[in-house]
Amino acid sequence: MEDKKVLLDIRNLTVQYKTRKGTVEAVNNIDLCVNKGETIGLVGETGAGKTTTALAIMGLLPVPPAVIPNGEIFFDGEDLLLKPEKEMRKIRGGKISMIYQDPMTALNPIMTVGDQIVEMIVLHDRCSAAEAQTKACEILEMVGIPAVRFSEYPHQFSGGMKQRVVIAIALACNPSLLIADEPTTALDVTVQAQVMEMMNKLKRELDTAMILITHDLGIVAEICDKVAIMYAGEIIEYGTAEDIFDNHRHPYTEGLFGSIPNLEEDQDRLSPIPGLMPDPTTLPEGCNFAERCPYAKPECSRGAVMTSRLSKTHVCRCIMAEKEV
Amino acid sequence: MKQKKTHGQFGEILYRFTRNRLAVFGVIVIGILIVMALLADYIAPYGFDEQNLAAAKTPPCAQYIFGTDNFGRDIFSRIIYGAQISLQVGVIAVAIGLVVGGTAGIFAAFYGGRADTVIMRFMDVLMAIPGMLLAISIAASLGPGLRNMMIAIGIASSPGFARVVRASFLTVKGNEYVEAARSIGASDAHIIFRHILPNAVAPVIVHATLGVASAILSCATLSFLGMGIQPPQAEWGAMLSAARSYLRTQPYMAIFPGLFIMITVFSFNVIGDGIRDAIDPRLKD
Amino acid sequence: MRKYIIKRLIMLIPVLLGVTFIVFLLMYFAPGDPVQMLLGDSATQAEIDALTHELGRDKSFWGQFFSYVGGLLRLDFGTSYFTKTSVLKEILTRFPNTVILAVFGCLLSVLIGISTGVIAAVKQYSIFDNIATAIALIGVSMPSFWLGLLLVMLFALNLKILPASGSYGPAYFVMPIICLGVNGAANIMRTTRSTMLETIRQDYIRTARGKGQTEWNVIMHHALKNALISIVTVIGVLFGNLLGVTTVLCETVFAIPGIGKFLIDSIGKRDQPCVMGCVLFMAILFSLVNLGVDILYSYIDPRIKSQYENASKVKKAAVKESST
Repeated sequence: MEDKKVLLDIRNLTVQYKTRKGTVEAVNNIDLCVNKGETIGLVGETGAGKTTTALAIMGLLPVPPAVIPNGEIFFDGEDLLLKPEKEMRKIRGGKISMIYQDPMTALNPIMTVGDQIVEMIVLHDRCSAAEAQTKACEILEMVGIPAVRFSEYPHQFSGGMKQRVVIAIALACNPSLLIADEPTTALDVTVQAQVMEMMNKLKRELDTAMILITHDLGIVAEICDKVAIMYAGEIIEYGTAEDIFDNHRHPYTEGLFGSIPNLEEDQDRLSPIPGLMPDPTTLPEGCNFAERCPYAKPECSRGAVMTSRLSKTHVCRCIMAEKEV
Repeated sequence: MKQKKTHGQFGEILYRFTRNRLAVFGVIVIGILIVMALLADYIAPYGFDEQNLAAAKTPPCAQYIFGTDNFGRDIFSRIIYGAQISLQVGVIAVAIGLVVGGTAGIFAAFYGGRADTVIMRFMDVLMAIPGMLLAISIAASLGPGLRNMMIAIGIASSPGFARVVRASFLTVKGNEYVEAARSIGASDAHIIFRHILPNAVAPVIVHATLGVASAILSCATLSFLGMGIQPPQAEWGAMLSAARSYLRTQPYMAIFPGLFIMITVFSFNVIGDGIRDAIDPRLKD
Repeated sequence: MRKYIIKRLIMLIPVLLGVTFIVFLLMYFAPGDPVQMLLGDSATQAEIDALTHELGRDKSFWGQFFSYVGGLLRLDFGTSYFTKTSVLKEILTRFPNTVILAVFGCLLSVLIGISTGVIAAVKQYSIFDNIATAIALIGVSMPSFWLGLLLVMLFALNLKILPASGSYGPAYFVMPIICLGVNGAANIMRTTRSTMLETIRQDYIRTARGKGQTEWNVIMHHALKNALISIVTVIGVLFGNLLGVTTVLCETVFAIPGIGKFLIDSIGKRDQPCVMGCVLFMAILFSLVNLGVDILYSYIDPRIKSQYENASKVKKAAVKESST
């Protein structure tokens, strides 16, 4: 395992949004490590801080209101947070690129899809306009869109096709890291599988590492090597796919699995997690999940919960796990 | 229960409005102007056509704070009386535009089909003449005077109201609760007044508030061109027109009436903007 | 696309006919008898009758209306009661002055309005934004004729660097164009700022930034181009207003012989053919400008363009199907 080179190493990252109504603690002291060619699933409810994490890596957080009071994001050994904007622009799109949640709005409505791909190529590859155009056509074909549609506009494409275009843009310059922010949630169920499969295939062909943001554990099981579970801005459990699926320790992870209908076992009803995520402007002391946790004890709300290392690959932030170690 | 909910929504809008300092400033200014206009007879130191030829063309001083005009009339007093006319025209012209255009818009939206086509084609015809030009034409046809001017401005503004009313009506009409009301057999009038109007009214209020601003501007414009209020009546635009001959020697004659037009129009504009932002706060923050 | 333009031009005809009718109706019932004004108080009844007949004012309303429309079809806008010259000729000699004012006023508005609007939106809540927004608010609230008077007092009477009124050279047009431009720039600045604010928040702007595009290109190529769709509409309305209304005031204040001043003078003289001609002429121009804006619109926004093209394709297909 040691021969795999670390591509992205997030350490102690905290992101806050300063608004008039108070400070929103969107991401709190997370650590995350992605090796070359690896796929990591980032799972959690809406508002858990997944997209904020992604935008922080891209350097696209809206400033203001966003601030990063502490943390480092090492990419290829260099801290992205310290890079000047000019160098960040080269990395953005060229080395790290992103697939967005809603393909309906992610494409510029008054630019042909071809030009939107060419724009990306011209920005990062030294090549002539004609070469860029040829390359864009190739990429279109690669994502399953006939090259003749090069000069059509986004409104002439269906949702699934638009997402293919977004993927084509993201992969145009062979990035070493791809961040896919819920790439299939906005699509029809029938199209979801197609797009996911295609993305996975291309990723493997190009040997791109990927952070897959989703709340669909089914997809995670299918394609992720490692999984990080996020809750209220914290990564509360992190490990290999086996660690998380077969051996999860955090009550929240357990709750997530309880929320999925299981076809194999005969269940009468789902067991959803009761309650809502805490207000990110006033996070509780101690464990953020304590309020909803079926195993909560008084000491859960006392003092910070430490992350415990259960095995070489598996970490969990829960006092129960703390005791086990 | 439902009553309570709408009240809550209204309260929220009011709260957001009061946090907009500029809009509150506008309300205060308009409040002062209204008081000035209502109590003109008590506040104004002189009558609006009280001449004192001996004191003609006096620059601003303690006795005449805005100075006097070529007939020795106190400009400050005339501005106070002018507020009566401007506010009156602003409100009544918008009311005319709202009644005429609003009715047309409601009919067009509610009945659709041929009624819609006929009404909106007619509005297109009126819209083909730039608004102020239409007001000028109508004013030319009706002749000068306060009442005619209000009609001219009101009619000229009605196509705009028709469009806004129709558009907001159509969006609301498409909502499911209207279908629901229809399906339980509610009458047309009931549907219009109980279900559609309250929900379609927000954009209309915004348009009407901004409409008052432009009506006051139109009033001043028409009078400036000699097609509105006639002398010796005190009207801000007409005062500016008269001041044109004295720009070199008595510049204050041209400054104060214009300043009041601007402040009044500005205030209605910021109130309109404030209401719009309070109803739809997306663009703020 | 050409089909669409032709269709729109044909659709203009009933609208303009409607405008003609309304304007004619208004002038027919306008108070004051031009015959009386022309002949003075000492005229005999016979003289009055003769002139009434000569001007065609003894015909019925519909008779007069149809002969007027008939004239329009031959591009005859009638003759002035007073100067006895063709109204169209009177208008066309004044047209250049009005066009110069409107075009340059519009250009000035667009240049200042869009640039300040974009900067204000990009730097929302900055000092620049606050000041520019405040000035724009004052700009839209300021009556243009008052601004005109203030400019005259400042530049012509105090500083003595510009002529106060008349039209004897380019210098005479400086103040009127500034006067028109302030109001227009304020309007366009407000629209630009608010549409840019809306556009900047769109997902595709984030996509463009995610490509590593420079901030300048993100704003100019992605945001502004999209925002232009709304801005162009405002520019169209503004140009129509400049052409038809604001110039009336400017020409009056600065004594520039253009169509606007001609209109106001004609109203004063009860010269109905001239009044009708002016209003109609401006309405035609206004409609053509709006049509131009709509066409421009479809060039910026491919969604609209394809709507027309699809509509004609669908129609063609339907025709084919029905014919087979």
